[in-house]
Amino acid sequence: MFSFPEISSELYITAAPVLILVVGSMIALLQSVSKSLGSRGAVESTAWITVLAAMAATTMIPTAPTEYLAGGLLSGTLSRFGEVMIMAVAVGVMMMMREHHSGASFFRGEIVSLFLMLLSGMLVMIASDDLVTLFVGLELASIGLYVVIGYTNSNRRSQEGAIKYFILGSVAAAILLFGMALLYASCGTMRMSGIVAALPSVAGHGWARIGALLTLVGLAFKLALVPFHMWAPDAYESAPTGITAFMATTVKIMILTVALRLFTGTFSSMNEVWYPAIIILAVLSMIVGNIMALVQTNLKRMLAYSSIAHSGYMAVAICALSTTATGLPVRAILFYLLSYVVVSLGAFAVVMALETEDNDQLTIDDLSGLAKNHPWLAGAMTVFMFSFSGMPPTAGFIGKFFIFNAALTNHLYGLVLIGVIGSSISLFYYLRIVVRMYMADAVAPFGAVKAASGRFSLTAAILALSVAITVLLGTILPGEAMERLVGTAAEIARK
Amino acid sequence: MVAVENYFILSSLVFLCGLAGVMFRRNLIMVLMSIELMLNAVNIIFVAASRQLGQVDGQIMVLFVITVAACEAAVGLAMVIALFRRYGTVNTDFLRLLRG
Repeated sequence: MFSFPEISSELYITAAPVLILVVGSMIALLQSVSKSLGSRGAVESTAWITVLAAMAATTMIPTAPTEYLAGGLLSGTLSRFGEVMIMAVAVGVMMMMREHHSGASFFRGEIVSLFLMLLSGMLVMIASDDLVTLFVGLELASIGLYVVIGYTNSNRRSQEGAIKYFILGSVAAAILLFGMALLYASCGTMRMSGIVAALPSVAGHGWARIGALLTLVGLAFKLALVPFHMWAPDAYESAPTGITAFMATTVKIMILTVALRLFTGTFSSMNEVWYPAIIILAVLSMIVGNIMALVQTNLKRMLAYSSIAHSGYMAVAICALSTTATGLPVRAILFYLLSYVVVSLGAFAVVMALETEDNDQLTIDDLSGLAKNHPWLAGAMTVFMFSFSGMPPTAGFIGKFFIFNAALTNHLYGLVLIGVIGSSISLFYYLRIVVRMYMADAVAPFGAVKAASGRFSLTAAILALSVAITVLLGTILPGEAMERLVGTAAEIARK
Repeated sequence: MVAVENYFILSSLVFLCGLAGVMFRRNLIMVLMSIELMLNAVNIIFVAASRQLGQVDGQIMVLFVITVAACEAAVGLAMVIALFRRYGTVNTDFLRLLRG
């Protein structure tokens, strides 16, 4: 006779963030049917209560690696790391959105409902070990993002960016699914951990190799690695800046978590397929990303290309997973990810503080003379640009150090050389912003006046926090942070 | 007995047809249909592999893929309708505001 397995209370604790987000999403959707319930204030309070409750719930995820629902949900330090980061970004983005002019169009029932739902999709993808939940989580997050990009501000630019992202994102999902189907057929299991365990024995089979390669291509698409990066600049430029900040950070957290689960331990068995492919992706991303960022005038587009280059640096560390000592590269990737997320959020917060309704596509020239009008904003932006370019004493420097260190330990000298060349190119366009802010006179009246009126208190809090974390991670905390990531690295390597 | 590899080859061909459609078609409706074709090509592999392995997992996956494909089509068609209202056409040549 069939009997249902017992459900432990830890399952509910692990699933709590997702459940809270789904319930909140449904409430926000129902609110939009009535005029009074669907007002900005009412919807906003639903959004805040849901996101803060879910964030609190993510911090309670048990650190013991356990699986529930036949691998549909994993607890453990990696799940907790990824989920806490995603919810922290969500809280930060909502704080920025609250004071931004696009807040009125963001805090509507249907958009908030989609936002909460796509957050739940991201959490599901991070915490899943099963291809079914992985795919559903990925699509929940992606489909939600397409709509939020295109319909928060429904202008021509947004719609065009959204449809381009939609087409390329769907193709990426289909390629990833095709690769996973072939891996399932070769390994005979839907479980990621099962696939990881079975891959070394089927590595010689042609279909398994094609599956492994296509899975990599699908992940590279979502990470915006060159040559699969075409969607990123368009999507970043066209989305409302808060959504751009959200997308630039959370999608990377989500995909890198899955990539780490998949590549750690299997990388050497699929060496002939993954190794050359990732080297090509890393080299192209570092070169093309940095060179294209040089010639951009639009600030958000420049940040998009710079994020492509940063994905390239992280891909260098993925190459270093090919040896048996995986702890160092895993910790390097997670540390770099942490510093990238904090700095990106801060840089986009500066962009948002300067945007007005008339000028929501800032160019680099718009930053001219910022230091005279808003020394604090300019100072914060300087810290972020230093960190992005990898100058001490910031988190970006330590992150790059860890990544190149991991690569050098694995004798990837060529990759490190290209990484260093890419970093020196990037120095030029990051420092150009700093020079404009401090040396040039204001060429045009820009929207920065708003920042002085004190309306941007939440954004200022985010900026202060980002600057503090960036500097602390770069000076006194890197050892502590790496120490904390040891458990996570060990957990991934054990699978 | 038909070897399972034949199903993989069939699926790859259908998948490539879909990919070619996305790359070369200029009509957004045709692009959407090509994406659906790609997702359904994957379903062939899942069903064939699940039959060969004697498991039901692959067939359950197919149900989820079909559901997700329907959601994607709904969102995609909504976007196409919004674009049609703005531009009066569903041709991709009009999407050239974002460059560089």
